[in-house]
Amino acid sequence: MIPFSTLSERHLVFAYCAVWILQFGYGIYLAVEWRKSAPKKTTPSGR
Amino acid sequence: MNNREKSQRFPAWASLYLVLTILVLAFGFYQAMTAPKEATMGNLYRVFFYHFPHTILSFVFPYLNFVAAFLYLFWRNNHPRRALAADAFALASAEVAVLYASVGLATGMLWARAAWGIWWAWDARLTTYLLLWLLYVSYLLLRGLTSGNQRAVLSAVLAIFAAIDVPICYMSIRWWRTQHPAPVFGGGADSGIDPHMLPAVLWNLAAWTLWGAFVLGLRYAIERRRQRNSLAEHTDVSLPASPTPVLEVR
Repeated sequence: MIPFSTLSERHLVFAYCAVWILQFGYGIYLAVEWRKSAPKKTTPSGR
Repeated sequence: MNNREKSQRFPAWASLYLVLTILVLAFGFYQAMTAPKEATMGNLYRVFFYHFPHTILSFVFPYLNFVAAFLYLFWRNNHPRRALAADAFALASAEVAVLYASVGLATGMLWARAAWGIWWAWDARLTTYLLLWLLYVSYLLLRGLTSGNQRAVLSAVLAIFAAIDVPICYMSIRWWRTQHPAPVFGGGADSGIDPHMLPAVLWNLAAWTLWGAFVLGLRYAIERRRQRNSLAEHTDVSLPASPTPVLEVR
């Protein structure tokens, strides 16, 4: 296991956390936008 | 289940793809944490397993944006429906490019602070990379500040100019030797990585490529839905009646 004690190892943890926060935060944002962008009503052609 | 409920759901294949991507991401993380320790930097070098895929992919998405922008300009008069799809793809790829470049910048700065003792250096790679990030942020701002026909045309032109920075940024660590290390892959006789570390690099590259394709596809699908909704509001039918309203709505 990695002991997160030194500056370099703390920064390693920060870097991984930054990646997850940015990437999965964007993923959650897209999931919300996907729901919000659903058609309000069915069209006459049924699409 | 009515049509609205159906249309809100992810397709089954997309859900399966997402599960597969998350499994590959988890395995990539496991590989990154269990790869051998590096002689000089110790555990800190493990930032590389996330920094490298994000940086490489942040050079790929701008090219997708470039191709889509070019196709938009090519099709906008004769094939408005195709042009609209190209514009949606250009927006999606620019947004994902900004996301990956932001991660590349954040991981690079955190790594630099611990390895070099400084957060930032105005060397060739870092400066051209910051410029790349700024160009695609400008692209998204331009789309936010303009509307109608102007939005798609101006942003497509900017996308074509912005793509010029990508090869300069990619080659900067080969052309100029400054603060940023020389390329690990394809950098000449002294480049390369220990074979025991290679699986972690490749698994994380695969994982973040799969994730990038997922968010790109989802962002594109959202934009297409918005276009269809907007068209339906303006024309009260799901398909465009003529080229003009197609290009004037978002």
